[in-house]
Amino acid sequence: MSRPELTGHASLFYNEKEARKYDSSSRMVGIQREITERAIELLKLPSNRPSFILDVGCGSGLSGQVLEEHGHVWVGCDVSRDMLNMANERIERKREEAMGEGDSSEDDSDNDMNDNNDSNNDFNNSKGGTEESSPGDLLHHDMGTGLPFRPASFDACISISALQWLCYSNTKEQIPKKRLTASSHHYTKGARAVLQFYPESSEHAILISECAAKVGFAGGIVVDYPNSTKAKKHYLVLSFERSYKAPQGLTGLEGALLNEGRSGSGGVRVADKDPRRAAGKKSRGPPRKKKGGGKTKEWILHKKETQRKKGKDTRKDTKFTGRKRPMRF
Amino acid sequence: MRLLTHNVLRNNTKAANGSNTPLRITATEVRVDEPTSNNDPDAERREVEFAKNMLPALNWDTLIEGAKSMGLDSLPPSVTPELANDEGFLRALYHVLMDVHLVNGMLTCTETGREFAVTNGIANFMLEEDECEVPK
Repeated sequence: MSRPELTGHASLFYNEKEARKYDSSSRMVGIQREITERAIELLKLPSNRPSFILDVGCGSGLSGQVLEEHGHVWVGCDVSRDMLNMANERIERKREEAMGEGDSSEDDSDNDMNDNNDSNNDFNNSKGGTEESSPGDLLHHDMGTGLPFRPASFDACISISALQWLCYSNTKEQIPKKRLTASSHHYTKGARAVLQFYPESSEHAILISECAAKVGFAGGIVVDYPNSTKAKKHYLVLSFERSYKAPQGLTGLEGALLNEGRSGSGGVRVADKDPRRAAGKKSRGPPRKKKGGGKTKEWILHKKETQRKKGKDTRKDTKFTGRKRPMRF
Repeated sequence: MRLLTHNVLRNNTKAANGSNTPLRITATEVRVDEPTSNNDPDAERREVEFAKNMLPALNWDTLIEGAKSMGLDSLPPSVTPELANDEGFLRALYHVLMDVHLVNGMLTCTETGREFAVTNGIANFMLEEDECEVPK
């Protein structure tokens, strides 16, 4: 899997060419759509009214499009101006379509009404097309510098494949942890946030959930299809409700749809007293026995460390620890 | 940029020190769209529901100021409980929040004077690394 976030800052990577490529790639569109659908499902929004949703790292507005289809109003922010321009184009296009339909179904009174509207601010106007214009709005903003919103402004917050960009520092001032904590101030109305990301390693996942816990969120990481390399998706599901528990990750059947059907589930709870301990369980475990292989050096060092913690007599670590014995004839 | 978005924005630089003072709009280009969801009772109901839901979260003074600087001054000075349940008012509110766009202009923080440019409907909130708030 390629990792563009290793190459540099998102605003540098997603230039005009890359943004266009991203937006026109049907694979990307499909994946983004699927993830957003799942994120919306995880948010458990009230279905009878539109919600006001913040989309952090909205990119070219692919996720926003899905939100629109669900009838939600969204504000997207992204660090790449070119991606935003793509999103803006889409919004403009949609608006023009909507306006176009409105015009064709109406006669000349349309314009007069419009003028009325502008000058007298009379809002009891009664016409329009069937096609709605896009309820999206855009901001050019770097989520690593904290969000410029008043507290309790949004009903929910989503972020699709963006959080991993914060795990890397491109200049020495950009301390990943600081940036992550800054972005964790999500200011939602006691509502939920679903942030999907691609952690490079389990340390990243732990780092992210630690930051979330520090800011006072309850929730955790939901891992869909944990046994598949391709379909595996990490969702950080957060809520201000203390008692909130992260839902179960998707497994089995749906995974098969992605040609990767294997079962199993995982979840890292942020709300645990020590997130490291909770998350550590996943990585610690007994090491899998390889065919013909013995215990690794890491395993031995780890074992000795635990023995020492228990207060047992343990030989000190030397250069010979875990070393292979010479071959015998 | 919509008035709705303007209403929830704040200056998040270190200088503003976490204050939620509104941003003053200096508009050079404003676009008012016509409401598009009329004649559709379901869409109307959704609009009303949305406006009702947003109302408690809105900063009404900011909205009035914002609307004024965009050339609208028909908003009532305060929201009475009767108004908050009036469907006509809620639909009008929805229109003000959603269909009035600041296309080009400037947002100025009333406290620190920091300016945020709005071009093509996109507000620029990019900060320099040394302007960032220090997370607690």
